[in-house]
Amino acid sequence: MQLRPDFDDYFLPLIEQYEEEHPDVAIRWEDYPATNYETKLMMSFFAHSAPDVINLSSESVTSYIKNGTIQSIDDYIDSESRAAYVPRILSSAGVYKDRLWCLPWYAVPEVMFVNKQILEEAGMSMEDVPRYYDDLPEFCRQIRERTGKFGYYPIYTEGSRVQVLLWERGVPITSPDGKQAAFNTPEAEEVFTFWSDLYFEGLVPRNSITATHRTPIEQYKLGNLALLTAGPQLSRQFKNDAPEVYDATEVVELPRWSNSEKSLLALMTLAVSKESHHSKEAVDFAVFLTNEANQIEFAKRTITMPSVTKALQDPLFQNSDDSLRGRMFAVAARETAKGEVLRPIRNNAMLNEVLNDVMESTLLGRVTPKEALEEAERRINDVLGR
Amino acid sequence: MAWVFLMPTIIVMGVFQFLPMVCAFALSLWDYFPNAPENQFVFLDNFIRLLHDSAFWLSVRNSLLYLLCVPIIVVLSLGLALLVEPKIPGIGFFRACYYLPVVTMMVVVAFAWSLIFDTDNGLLNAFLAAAGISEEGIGWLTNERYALWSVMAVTVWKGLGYYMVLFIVGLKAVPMELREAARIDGANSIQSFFNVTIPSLWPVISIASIISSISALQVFEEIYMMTNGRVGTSTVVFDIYETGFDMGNGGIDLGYASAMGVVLFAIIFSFTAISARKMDSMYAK
Repeated sequence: MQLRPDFDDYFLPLIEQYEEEHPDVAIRWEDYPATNYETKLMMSFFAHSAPDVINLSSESVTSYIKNGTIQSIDDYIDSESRAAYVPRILSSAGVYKDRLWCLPWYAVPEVMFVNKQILEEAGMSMEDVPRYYDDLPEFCRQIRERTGKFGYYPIYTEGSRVQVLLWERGVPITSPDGKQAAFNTPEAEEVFTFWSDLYFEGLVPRNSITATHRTPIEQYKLGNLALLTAGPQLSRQFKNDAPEVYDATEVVELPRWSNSEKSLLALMTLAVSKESHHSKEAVDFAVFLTNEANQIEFAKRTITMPSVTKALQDPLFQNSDDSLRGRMFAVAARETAKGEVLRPIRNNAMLNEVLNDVMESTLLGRVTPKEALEEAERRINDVLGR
Repeated sequence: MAWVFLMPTIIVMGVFQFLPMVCAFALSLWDYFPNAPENQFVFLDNFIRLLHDSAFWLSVRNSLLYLLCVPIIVVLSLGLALLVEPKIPGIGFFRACYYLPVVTMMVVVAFAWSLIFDTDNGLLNAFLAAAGISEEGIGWLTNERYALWSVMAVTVWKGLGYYMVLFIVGLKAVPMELREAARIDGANSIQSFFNVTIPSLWPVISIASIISSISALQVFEEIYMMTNGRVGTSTVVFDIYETGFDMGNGGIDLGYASAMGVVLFAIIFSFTAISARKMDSMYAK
């Protein structure tokens, strides 16, 4: 997903190497941009032309299990290969109903990019960067008043964003059996109130109600945004597209709720199509792509984190140097250590739709946070109860 | 022999237009998911579900509101055509300028206008603030009162050039003798315009109205790019996309999306039929 042409020099030699070691296997690599990736992938399933090995984000895996488009890989992976992955990551991302459905690949722990130039303009220092969400509104207010720029650019209505906002505060989305909504709690109301107040008070851009994840990245690159929450791999883009911003960038850990230290680990996985005629070879290739050596090499190029236990013990993630890249690895390693993979949920896409809708209604002032949560609970229970 | 020449068109239209239409009608009666081991025939359930879907009816309302673009486009493009139709040195430059948005990709147009309409840093609000009209900044794309109208303005702006060209061709076809006869009979330029030019242009006006109506009812790209269907701007086609194809937000529900498509087809078909009949009767007079 969105790896060509930037990583051709990594993947093409790897594919060549694998084909040399397995003369009866020929690999064709197809890559699509992240936007609408899943739609294009689903169309390939409909056309019975889906790839054998598929790159999926961990949170979308259950949709594919439910649709019957990917298969369990239990029968094709040996216990030694399976034991190589960080158990916590393997079980939360790949195991569903006691079966293994995908292999974890690279993790993208979010970090916070800070534009020190904007802090200077506002007469602030790195000490003023909020460590907790409680401090975020005041930070945004000062940046706005002193520089006319924005401190932070939240995403409110894209993909799983609302789920993540709730999850950060420790709010469960559904009951353990997945049959009922479980998010209508005082903590969830606090989350909705906090983020909508930030919006109502004009402390974040008003266009954030319709923004996708690309918008804050663009604003950060233009030097209009003080803080950006994103994966560290974006630093490569900043270096190429906005070298001045890159030079002014520092990286720190994400702000959190003072009473919930949770942080999210976005994870890429490799699954195998149910219609694959080469399931065994597909799993073997997925194991090859995710082995220790290949994951370390990929992490070096992308500033992502490997999902294999031995790879994480590499000095690269243990003793980072003091360059910005080194500090990014250090922050990413700390985030990975405490980060959790968003557990796949049944009806994930429908949950997203409802939660995004009610968040939008709250921001538009149509409903209060309490009413929004009640509406979402009712709509989701309607579907889950069918 | 005639059939041999017609076959390529019949095959292409049959495979890529009529067959998908028939399939969509059939799909609307199913709870359908490709590759699923079993799909359930639900008959009219998807249509009954539509009746109770307030989000869908908001989209229908927005799609119908979008039809307001039609008279605006027709009047403005006719006005532009009148301005650039005369043979004046350098007029080709202005024609090209007005036509430029038509050949520019909607993605580029929508992106540029999103920057202009940006609530906090947009050009339009900066201008209004400088002129002392609004210090607060208007939520062109973030306020329910303005968002749909702002997107409609972009649709009108982008489409003007295309209809302007249609009207230029129409104006060229107005017989000079008629205009001269009117002038000799004592008609001033306004009388000549309403009594000679407009009746002569009626076929072009009909075509422009029908084409722009269908385009308005099928609007998608502007909405997708500028508001992502948020802030009360979703239209029926956007709803069909979200319901049928957007895996990240709503999932894939092809049967229900097909039912929406059937309703949209009915709306467009009825609207076009009524407009065509109305235009014909007016033209006959």
